[in-house]
Amino acid sequence: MSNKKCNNLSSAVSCERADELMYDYIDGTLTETEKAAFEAHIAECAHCTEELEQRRLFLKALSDGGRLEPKRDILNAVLNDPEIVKLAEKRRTKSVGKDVEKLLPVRRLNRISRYLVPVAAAVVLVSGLTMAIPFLRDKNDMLAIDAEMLYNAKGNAEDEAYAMYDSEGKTDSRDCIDPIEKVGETNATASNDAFPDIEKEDTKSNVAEKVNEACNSAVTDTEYELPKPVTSAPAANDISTNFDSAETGVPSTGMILSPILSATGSGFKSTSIDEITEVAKESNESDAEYEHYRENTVEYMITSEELDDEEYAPLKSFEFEDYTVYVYEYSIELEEILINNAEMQNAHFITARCSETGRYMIVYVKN
Amino acid sequence: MLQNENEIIKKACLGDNDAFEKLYSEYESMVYSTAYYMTKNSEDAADISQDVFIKVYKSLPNFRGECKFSSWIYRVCVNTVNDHMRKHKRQKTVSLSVYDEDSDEESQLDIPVEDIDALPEAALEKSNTQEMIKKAISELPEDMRTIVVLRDIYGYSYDELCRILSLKEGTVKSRINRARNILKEKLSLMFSEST
Repeated sequence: MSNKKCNNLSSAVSCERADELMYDYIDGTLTETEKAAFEAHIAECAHCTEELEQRRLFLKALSDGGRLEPKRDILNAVLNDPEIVKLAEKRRTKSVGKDVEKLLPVRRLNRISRYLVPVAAAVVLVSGLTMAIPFLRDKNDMLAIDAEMLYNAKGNAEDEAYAMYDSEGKTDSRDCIDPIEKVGETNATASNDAFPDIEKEDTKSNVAEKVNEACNSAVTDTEYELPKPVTSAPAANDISTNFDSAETGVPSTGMILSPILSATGSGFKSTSIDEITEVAKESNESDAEYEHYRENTVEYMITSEELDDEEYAPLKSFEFEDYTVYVYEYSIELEEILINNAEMQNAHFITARCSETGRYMIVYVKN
Repeated sequence: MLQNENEIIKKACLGDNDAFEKLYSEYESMVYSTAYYMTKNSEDAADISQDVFIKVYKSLPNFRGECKFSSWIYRVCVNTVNDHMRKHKRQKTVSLSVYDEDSDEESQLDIPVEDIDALPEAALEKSNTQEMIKKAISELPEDMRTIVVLRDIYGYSYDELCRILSLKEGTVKSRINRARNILKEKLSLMFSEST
């Protein structure tokens, strides 16, 4: 409130009190008595009336001006995301002739398959049987059948977990928690309580819980997919022209990317050597929160050699100063894998964006 | 809130992209603004928004209507932002999209790592009301910023705010009134400086 003094001495509400009540009046949260007293004051006090009008205008400006819109077409990106396209198709197919409520058993099955597929993925990755990955992908139907059997065998363990979760009073409503976080938390409590059978009888399920916890932000409601291979990785010495070619339909971006993607270009040297040093310093700093995050995250057992495998092929790799630099097409899954990879703990990451071609992960691995 | 929001959600669960588009249109700005005011970076906010809506699409069948959809989507958003910030502690982000083909290579190499919008000189250059408001909100302490965004920009009720933030109504009210007073003062100063 301004320093102006109100001359209204007859009102039951002073200007100071009116000032305190003003926002509540605008919000409509005053009691009837307070409201009546406030309005009586306003009716007699020109200064407070002006202040009230100013505050209304201020809140209107705040509401209009603070509302931000993204500059890029996010909806299009979401709906054209390969996983979403696939999921939408699946849901449309399943919805034919079904009521929404009847989807529940499908959802249960899908949750279980979410456990099972990471198990298969983890087992394959841990044992280094990377050759089996294409097989797993082609056998999703088989996994779904296994999942159904697992679900039937385990009964309603998941619902019990939810019931326990709710009964422990951790939340008023399960829906108010990020559904993805919820799955992780449920698993955390479930490992010792609600899923005793699973823990004792089935070590693979334990792995599933841990892996699920680790990758909970990347799993889908229906299935977990391993990162997609970069199918059109251009030759190392051809990346600029590849991005510029008419075939890719991406004009002019070679100009943008060539200094970054060129092995010998000055892009890194001039822009990034200080950044590399800076990032290196930052990364070496002890950070309790990050360490806690890492300790509670199951690492994907992927070695550097496997990162060179076709499954995780970088768009480009080259030597730079004391670093080997890898350029990957960005994906959430790849980011998770790279950041959680034990072998990449001395690596530094840069997410590079180009509005025309998307995001890239640039990874510096100290030689 | 959308009319027939529950119906729209059910349709979106069945793969109806038109229904999902309605949900997106309703919450796009809230998600983006929340992400922006938490990260203070427009590119990060756009990336996060994309990730949030992908998560929402995937997780829609898990929404059982036991709280408001707006609260649910806000939680997804905040968790995604926190995840993003946690992961990016070890990362540096460079934006390549500001490259000007007409400029020489040297100037291209001077691309700042920070978000251009977040730079005070850039904000002052634009010098319009929205930029001032954006800047003023961004400078608020985090606990006040969240409440202002949800209450004064997106009209969340006090009940909803208490539930989302696990705070008592008195705390929410006193925090928002303090935030409003700070903002009003900041904006008055900015306006007087700009004229």
